[in-house]
Amino acid sequence: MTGNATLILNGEEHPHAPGMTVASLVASLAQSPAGVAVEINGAILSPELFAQRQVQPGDTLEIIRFVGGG
Amino acid sequence: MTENKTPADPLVLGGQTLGSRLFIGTGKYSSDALIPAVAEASGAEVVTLALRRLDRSNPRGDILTHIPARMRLLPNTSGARTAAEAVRVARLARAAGCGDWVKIEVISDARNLLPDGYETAKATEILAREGFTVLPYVNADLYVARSLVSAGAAAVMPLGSPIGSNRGLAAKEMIAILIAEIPLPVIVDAGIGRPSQACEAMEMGAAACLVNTAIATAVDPVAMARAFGRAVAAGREACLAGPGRVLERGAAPSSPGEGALTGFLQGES
Amino acid sequence: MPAYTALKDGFFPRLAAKTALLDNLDRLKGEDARRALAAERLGERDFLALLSPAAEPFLEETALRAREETLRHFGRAVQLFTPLYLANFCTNRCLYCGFNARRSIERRLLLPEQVEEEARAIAATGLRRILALTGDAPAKTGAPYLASCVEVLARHFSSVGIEVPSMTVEEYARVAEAGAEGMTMFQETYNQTLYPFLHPAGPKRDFAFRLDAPQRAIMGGLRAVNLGALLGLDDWRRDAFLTGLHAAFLQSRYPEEEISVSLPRLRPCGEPPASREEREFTPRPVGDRHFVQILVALRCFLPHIGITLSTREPAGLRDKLIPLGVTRVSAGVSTAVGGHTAGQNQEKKDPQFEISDPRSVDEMAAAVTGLGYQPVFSDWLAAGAPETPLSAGIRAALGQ
Repeated sequence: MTGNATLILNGEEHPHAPGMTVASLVASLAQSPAGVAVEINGAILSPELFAQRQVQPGDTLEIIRFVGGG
Repeated sequence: MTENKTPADPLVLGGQTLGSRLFIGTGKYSSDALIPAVAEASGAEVVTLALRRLDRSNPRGDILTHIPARMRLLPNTSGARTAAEAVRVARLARAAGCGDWVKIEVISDARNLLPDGYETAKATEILAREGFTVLPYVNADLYVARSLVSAGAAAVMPLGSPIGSNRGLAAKEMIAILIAEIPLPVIVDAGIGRPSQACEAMEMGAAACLVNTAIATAVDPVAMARAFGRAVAAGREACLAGPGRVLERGAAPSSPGEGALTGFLQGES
Repeated sequence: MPAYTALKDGFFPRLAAKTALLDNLDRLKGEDARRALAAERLGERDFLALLSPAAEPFLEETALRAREETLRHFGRAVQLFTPLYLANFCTNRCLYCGFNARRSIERRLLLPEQVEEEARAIAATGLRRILALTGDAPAKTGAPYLASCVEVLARHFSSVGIEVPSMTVEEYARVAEAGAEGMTMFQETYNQTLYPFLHPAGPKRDFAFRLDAPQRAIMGGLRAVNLGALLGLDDWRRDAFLTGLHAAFLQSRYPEEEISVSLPRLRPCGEPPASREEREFTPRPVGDRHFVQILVALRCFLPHIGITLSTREPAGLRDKLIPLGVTRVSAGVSTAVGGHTAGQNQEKKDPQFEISDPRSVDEMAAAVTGLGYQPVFSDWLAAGAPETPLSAGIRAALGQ
């Protein structure tokens, strides 16, 4: 099966290319990877592993970033 | 730009020495682009921010680009309604690379935005054990504050009045009790609406003030930030100067020896 | 017997630093006393200022504040209690005490059925708060004996306190379980040089063990501790100051505990000196004016703690001091063993100290009422358990 595997990202379905890494996923969504945290299937992924970890179909991801707050 | 010399009246928190006792927030600004000038004018060294799901439809520059690199980031756990959620947010914040300070904010009351002291204490205990520098945001309740001390908090942050209300130190008496009884820095957070109120909190002996809404929603946030910086410094200096004799308490006797209470001692050794 | 190691988180490690604060006594001025009186909350330095010579012209103003604080925290209520001397066997040779081991007095101890008799006689006067005392004779009147007496007393009184030699945590726990609510422990003097001179022999000689006793009592489960120094042994300013700081320390370490202070002034024990040391001992008596200064300064420094005045003080003075901060007084007092039941003769025989206020419970209650205060016999917070079944041993001793 080619192309559009899906994972759940921030509660919604999101297509991804096979073999995509977390790092490239984040890069496709945010201007900079600074201040971004990623949770895969409920576990926080250490930033050093962003470039290595490939996303799999059916993975549940939360990508969290800093915003303004009090 | 880091200071090379130790500040005169430093506030030491989580192993860090702070020269400014005003903490600022980054929420509610008409534009995040105001933040650098506000930070500069205020002199603050600690800034709060929140965490949210990345918004794919709005990938504009993130808040970190607006925060001066010298500042210590204090992520809050806003959005958490339980201790477990707060712990998760704190761990995510640390993974996002902001250091290990966290402001615990556990609120499940959307109308009044009052914090849940019990859940906050639970989260404090877990996170303190994981090496976080925990600054819990709570009501000015002595028993909650004591449980935070045992749980390993680095400070206690009582609200002056509900978030965003700008009503100043409604909880003044209770905050005074915390300042007298709790052996941790007491940082007044939430509800401070005017620099005079921040000044008053510092005069009372608070260790610092956290101000967000009052600056962000002022007509001129940069000028307001400057005013708050000065107010916090003035209040602190007054506290250290030691207020002199304020009022006569009770009536003074007309002449020695004629006192109603101790007059019976006349002639005694 | 291994040497005692003071509690690391206790008052003993702090005592040297606190004692050093006394060096400031002569530097304090009238302005310092004024500032203390104007402060919302008094710090240690303010307390010292109010005890200093510089504060003497401000006695009336200090008394005014003391009265205000007492009214705010205690209203117009005064608790009544009486001491019950269970035994006067003693192995210590405290220079100032009538029960001193060198003194030839009749040594007695009460058996459970005698305790029961005393308890009934005292309870018949309406009192519900009792303080049980013994001398220092662990073999005869140690924790097991004490627990059995407390068990009897707890059936008649809603508050049973003990004033006994220093015990271990386990021993306090045992007595707490038997029904004791609190303890009284007088350090006598906080002066570590003078202390051994006053206590030449006996277990009481261990200064640190005694100093830690209130804390060990708390650790053992007692919920109220009452401190004090015997005023007149050392310079009163020193002992009054350190008593206040000891109380403040325990209160901040154990916020849930009821901490109180007594102000016993040295009284003659009525007999000629029994030893060379006693002859050499020169007490430093505290005059009435200075005594009042101690009371009102303490009340200003610690507005919420109870202050007890015993019958060492004469009736007239006790009445005048109630409005200034005294919140607990004894009445119907005998300081002889079995003195409440043994009849008139016994009361004159072998007391621990001379009583200056011989008023009965009724007379004291009337005096308190006359002053515009309410005499309180039973503190409703400290509910006794009169229906609790007695242990088999006690029932046997009572012939049940």
